[in-house]
Amino acid sequence: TRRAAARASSTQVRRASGAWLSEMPTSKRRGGKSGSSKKKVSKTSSSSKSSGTELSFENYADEDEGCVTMEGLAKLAEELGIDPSSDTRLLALCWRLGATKPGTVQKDEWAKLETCPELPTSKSTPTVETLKKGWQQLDPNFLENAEFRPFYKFCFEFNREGTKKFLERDTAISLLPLCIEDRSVHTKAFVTFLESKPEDFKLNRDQWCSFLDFSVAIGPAPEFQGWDADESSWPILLDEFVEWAKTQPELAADEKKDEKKDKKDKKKKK
Amino acid sequence: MHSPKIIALDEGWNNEIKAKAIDVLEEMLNNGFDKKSQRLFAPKEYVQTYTTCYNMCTQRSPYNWSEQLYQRHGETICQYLTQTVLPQLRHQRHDFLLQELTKRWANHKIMNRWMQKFFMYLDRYYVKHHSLPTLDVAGLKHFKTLVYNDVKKEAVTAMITLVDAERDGGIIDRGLVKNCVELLEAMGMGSLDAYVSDFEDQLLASTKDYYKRKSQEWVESDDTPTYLEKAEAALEAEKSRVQNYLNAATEPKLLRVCEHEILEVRETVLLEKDGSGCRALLANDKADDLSRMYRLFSRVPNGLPPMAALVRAHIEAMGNDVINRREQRLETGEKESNQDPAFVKELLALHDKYIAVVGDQFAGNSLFQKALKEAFVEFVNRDVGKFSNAELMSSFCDRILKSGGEKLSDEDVETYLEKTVQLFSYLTDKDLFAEIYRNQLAKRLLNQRSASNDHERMMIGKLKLRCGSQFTGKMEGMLNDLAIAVDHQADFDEHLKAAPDRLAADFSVQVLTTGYWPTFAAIDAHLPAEIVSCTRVFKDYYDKKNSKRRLTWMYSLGNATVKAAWKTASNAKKSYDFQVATLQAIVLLAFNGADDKPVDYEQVRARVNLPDDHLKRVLHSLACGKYKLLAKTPTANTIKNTDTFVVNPTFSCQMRKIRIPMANLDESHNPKRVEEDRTVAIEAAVVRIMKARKTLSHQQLLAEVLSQLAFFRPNPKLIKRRIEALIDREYLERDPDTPNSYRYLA
Repeated sequence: TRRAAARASSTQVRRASGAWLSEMPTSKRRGGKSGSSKKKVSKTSSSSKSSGTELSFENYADEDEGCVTMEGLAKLAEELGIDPSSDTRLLALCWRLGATKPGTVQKDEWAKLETCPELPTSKSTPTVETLKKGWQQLDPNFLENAEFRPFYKFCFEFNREGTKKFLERDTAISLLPLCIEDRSVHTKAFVTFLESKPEDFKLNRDQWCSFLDFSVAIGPAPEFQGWDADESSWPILLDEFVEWAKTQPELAADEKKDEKKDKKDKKKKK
Repeated sequence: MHSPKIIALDEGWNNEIKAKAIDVLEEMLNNGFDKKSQRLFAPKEYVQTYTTCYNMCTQRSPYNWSEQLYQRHGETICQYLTQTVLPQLRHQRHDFLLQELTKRWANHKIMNRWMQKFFMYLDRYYVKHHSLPTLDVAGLKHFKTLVYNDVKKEAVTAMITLVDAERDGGIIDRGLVKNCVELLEAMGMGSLDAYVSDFEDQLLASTKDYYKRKSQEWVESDDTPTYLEKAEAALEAEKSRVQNYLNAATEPKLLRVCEHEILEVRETVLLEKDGSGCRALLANDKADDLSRMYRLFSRVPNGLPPMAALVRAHIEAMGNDVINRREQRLETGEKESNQDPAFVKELLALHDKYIAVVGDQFAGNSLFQKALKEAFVEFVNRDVGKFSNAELMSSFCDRILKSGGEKLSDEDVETYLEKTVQLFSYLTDKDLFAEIYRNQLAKRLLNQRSASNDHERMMIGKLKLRCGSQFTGKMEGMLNDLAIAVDHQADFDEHLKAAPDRLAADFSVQVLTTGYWPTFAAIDAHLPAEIVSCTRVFKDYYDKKNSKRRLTWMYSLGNATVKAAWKTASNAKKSYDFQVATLQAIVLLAFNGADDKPVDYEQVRARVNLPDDHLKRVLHSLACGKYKLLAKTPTANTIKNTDTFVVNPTFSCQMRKIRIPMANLDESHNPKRVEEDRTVAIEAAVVRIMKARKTLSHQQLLAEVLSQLAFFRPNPKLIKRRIEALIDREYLERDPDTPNSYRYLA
């Protein structure tokens, strides 16, 4: 009954067992409301104005679930001042914590805030401030391709629904560009391709992970250098993608544009 | 004691040896003598000369004339050759040269022999002590250096001219050439070197030119069979030539040259000649010509593969013809059914024909067997129309194995089946054939339409031989089920006798093992009470015997005999025995109790609970067939949900036992089933292979899978799909270290 009441008053932060993006509140303007309808948080968080807000498990965990859920993460996001639906550093955080169950962080995983060397909070008692200060270093863009791969795979795993082994089409469409950022010239085309699939289309792990390898190995449209129709061991979905893309001449131009842009950006970054 | 007188050199030489032996010898040689009748020297004369020589060689030094005699032996011969023999030879040309040469050679042999005999003592000691050539050899050498080397070129040319003349059909003096050959052989002094380098090489060269020319002529003027006849004759002639007057060592070399010029060089032209080349001969069934062609080209290295390729192309064309004609027939509106015995017979006949050709004309050579097989595989898998060739072949067997089909003797049955199995072996989709065959077999067995159990087993045996027991396991299972059913039925009958239950009807059951038989639609019909009690009794009996098995009744199969009584016009009772399917029996019995009241379709359906398609078929057979047991309103020939039925009061028939046939729901086989089985087979193969190999590249995995699947050939995309499914189920993963490779996950 308490739960029901809480739910009734919280229209936007639903019980999140689903995908990250569809469940995640997208802007700060909801922040105020979610603050007031916070569920069973046993300790009222000390005023966020004080500078030593501890990142304790209990602060963010859902009492019923016994772990931090999407809501807890949303709360954290709000405190950090970031947009959880588009900031991949939050995903990177969960990755570093070694989250295993999709959409949740268990107690022992949360504890890694103190121990994981890649996290800015490991140097002292984890607080929101230290995390906020070191937030930038979590950016997956800094990762080399070899290190990026496991993170990219994690993005898939974490955004599944429960024990399901796939992503829904729309989830994939929003998630993929976010995660892969500029590591692929094929993203735009591939997303368009996925949009042409029926609504109940599902993307599996093999297809998701192979997309990254594919982007590394195969050149831009329309040549798709390195892809051979007869010898291809890529998942059939990617073969279909190439064959579809070859019939879409406008994409070729786009991909080339993106490639040039990427090269410029990379130069800028250096 | 007698000390013999010392012989002085010149004295001994001039007076004794020369005068009495050498001069005499030379004169005889010069003037000719009757070789056969007399010896040149009587023993007495000979001994004398020998003794002189002996003495002169055994005298003490300085009177030991061995060295001198040896020298003079040589000089004598040389002188004779140079002064007497050579001039004579230089006079002559061509045949005459050869004749003179052989004469002189014969003479020389004689001279050499006698000179050796005279001076034989030298051979014993002097020659040996000084490691000199023996007299015999020395004499030969002189001949070679002085005579032979001088005339050999001319002589060889003359010989070759003769050979060519003979080739052109002339008659030559073979003995002459043979003698010359013998000379050449001797000139080798223990080896054939002289023969080979002075004669044979030239002979081979001229033979090559000769046949180069000849074959060109033939090619331009003759068709292939004629050419081949000439070729064969030429080769035979050359062979006999060698045997007649050449050295045997020449045979292989000579034949090789001839074969090269006549056959090897011209092969392509001959095979592909318009109207008379290989394909033309095949098309016109020219058996002898084909045999000859095979014989001749098998002599040539790599001569057979081009021929085999043409044979393959021909058979393929013939086969495609048969298929195309069928396609035509279907396009011009011929009704399409899953049976086309004429077509299958055409294919069988084609196969018979070319098996015979390969066996007879091509001596069963494996290249041609392969060509035949490849050709057949090409067109046998070309399906046209709705029904695959696999299905047509299976239906062909069905016709033979069905009772009421063609009347054939046991032998003919076996022959047809054997041949069909051979044709079947060329199918790629063998599993499709198996599935269709299995369904048709089931129908035959369950409808008691099988002509002979032995024939069924025979056919299965043949398939098993070719494909292994896994292929025929289910078919055998079906036959076994029915074989056991007889025993089980006996057992059940015994049980009935002992049991208190009395069945309402004669009841026999066939228990089918689910895995072996095709899946039949399970119908949950409402049975009439009589049948229900029977099934219950049987089920109890069966459950007691086999506790772990579950029985599911298949009402769509099976048949019944229904006894019915009608009132005739004269109010008498006439009873009938109707032989019907179980479903028909169920519907008929439903009308018991309705009497004369009409029952509408929906009521019938509610009563018997059959699905519409089955019910309509049943009602159609009872109301619209030849024997109208039910009267339908309206009387149209189709069953509609709004029809009403009543037992037909006016029904009558002369016969008492009547069979009421019913249309079969014609599903030949479930194509989904074949696909499912294939999916399973592919995945099993992939897992098996990966388990053994641990890691494998994509291409290698595909290749291995294809090689392991014997009964169908999936396309690579299908295999890839299954690999992805296995990745999803975590049997494999993509190898992170090697692109395009997979790793087995234990």
